[in-house]
Amino acid sequence: METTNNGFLEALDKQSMTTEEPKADHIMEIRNVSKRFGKVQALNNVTLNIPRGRIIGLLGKNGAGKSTLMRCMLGFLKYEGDIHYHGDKLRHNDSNIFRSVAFIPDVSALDDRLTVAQTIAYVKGVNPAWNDKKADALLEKSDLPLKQKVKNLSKGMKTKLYLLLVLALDVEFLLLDEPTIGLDIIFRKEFFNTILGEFYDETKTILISTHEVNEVEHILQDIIFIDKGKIILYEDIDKLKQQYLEVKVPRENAEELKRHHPLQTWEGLGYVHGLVTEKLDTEYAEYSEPQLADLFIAKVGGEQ
Amino acid sequence: MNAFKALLIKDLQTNKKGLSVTVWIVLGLYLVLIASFIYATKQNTGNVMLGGIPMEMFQNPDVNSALSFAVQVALMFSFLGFMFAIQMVSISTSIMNTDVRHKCELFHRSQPVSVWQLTASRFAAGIGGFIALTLVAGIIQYFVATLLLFIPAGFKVDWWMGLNGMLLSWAHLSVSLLVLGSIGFLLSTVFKDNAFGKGALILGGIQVAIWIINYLTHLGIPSPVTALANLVMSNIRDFTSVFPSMQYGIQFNSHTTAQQGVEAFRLPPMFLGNLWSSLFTWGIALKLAVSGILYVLSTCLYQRREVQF
Repeated sequence: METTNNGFLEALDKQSMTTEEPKADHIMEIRNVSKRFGKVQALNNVTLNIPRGRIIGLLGKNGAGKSTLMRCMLGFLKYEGDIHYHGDKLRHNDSNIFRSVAFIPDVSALDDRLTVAQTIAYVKGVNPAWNDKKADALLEKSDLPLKQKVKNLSKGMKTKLYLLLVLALDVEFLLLDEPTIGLDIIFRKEFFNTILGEFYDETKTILISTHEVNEVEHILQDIIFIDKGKIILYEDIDKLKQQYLEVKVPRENAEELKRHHPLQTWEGLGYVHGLVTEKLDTEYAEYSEPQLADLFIAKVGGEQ
Repeated sequence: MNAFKALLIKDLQTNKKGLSVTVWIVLGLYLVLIASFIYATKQNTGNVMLGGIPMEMFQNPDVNSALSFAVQVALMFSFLGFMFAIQMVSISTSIMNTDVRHKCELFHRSQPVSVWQLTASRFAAGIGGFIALTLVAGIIQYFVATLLLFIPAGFKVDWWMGLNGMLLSWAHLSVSLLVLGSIGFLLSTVFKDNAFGKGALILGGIQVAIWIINYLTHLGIPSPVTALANLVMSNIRDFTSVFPSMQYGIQFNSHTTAQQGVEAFRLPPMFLGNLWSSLFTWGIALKLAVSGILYVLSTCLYQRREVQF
């Protein structure tokens, strides 16, 4: 895949990568947050607002700062700058945030020393947001072996348990940090469908960090691109996609595509593909909606 | 309160293995002891000892009460004490890092549980739970040792004095274990892995530095290792010194004759009240205060720690 650094990129920078955030009621405000691990600048002056009632994707390469940003947002890490949750300044290790926020880092993060029943009883006991009705309904639907230790569960079962633990909570903000790592495609799909079906409504906010952007693209409303600790794009996905077209032209018409300064081009079977802002003057061109992954690569460069 | 209860139950569940191993070890040791005792009695070797006290002494009804008491104290401080101390160091120096080791720290820290609740629960489950289990081990000891005494003593064992001996020595041992555990707890909040090794290295380094400074300058700076040992064990030393014959009893060896032993234990009235009052001293209060301060300090340090995995 080839990225063309030309006027088009500048246009993209101006139009959509100015971190023009969706206008909405903000649940969290992040102001000039920087975080350093030794010599590594993990976050560099990050400023963004998280609106209420949106499903937001956080996309970045390995080491781009996705997990660090989430850990700062939850008060797990110390950082420079300010984060406000519902207008209140978030303090390091302030557990009160978890009265209305839930977090799934990775389904393997469950405590494997406990049984399924002990894990459920524990979360129910410590978390005032626990909703018995929801939990019972979810438990009825699942086939979780209550007496079994978590360490003996399959990855799929662990996923079901983690989902039950989180979906049984009456919280308004859900953060998912690469939650489906190591899961097969069926469980990955089921995971996101369950989140969408059981958790989301217009009052809830979901922030999903994932590598598998294609799998969540259909449920996302906003997207954040992060690279080298900097937010390089924050946009409503529909608006973003309206700005670009994915075009496919026969290889012999490649020159025509190049004349339109595509943001990025790549080779297909007998065709050349590109991202453009307007239609080409050729009848051979075929158009489709651009994929987030292509937009991401166009901006960040390289493989995801 | 319900949240803390749930947290405590979870901490007991997750540390069950580490805690219960002590009771199993004690049970195993006492099974070996019983087997050895039965074997030695059958062989009639003539110098079978229990808690360092020659068994033939138990046949004298004049000293039954004192011996019933002494055996429990001797066994608690010598036989169990050392093992408990090792176990306490092992548990307390890792108690705040077991979630990191099991890669579930993010799961637990994503609950609305304050750092103070979290450390209090760990302290109670790890250190308090272990001390409670040493009582279980003490009860096992009480029955095993008393039953072993029962036969040779001609059914004249003083169960009440034995129980007092076990409980009193357990209470003193608990104070020492609490202080030791609090030091270990502090180390576990400072270091994420190998807290004991790192702590020992630092203490050893300070000790060596003080030796060198003292050698070069004759300043006579007190040894931190000695100070630490005093902090942990002084109450046990003071307790046994209240009862001089006890110290003698503990130090019995194969050259001690039965008559010497009987004389040593031909005690004035056992003044149980005086012995129990040894728990209510400024020294003990200081140890409890030190333990509390170490807990607060540990929590403050833990609060500063970042959660990454």
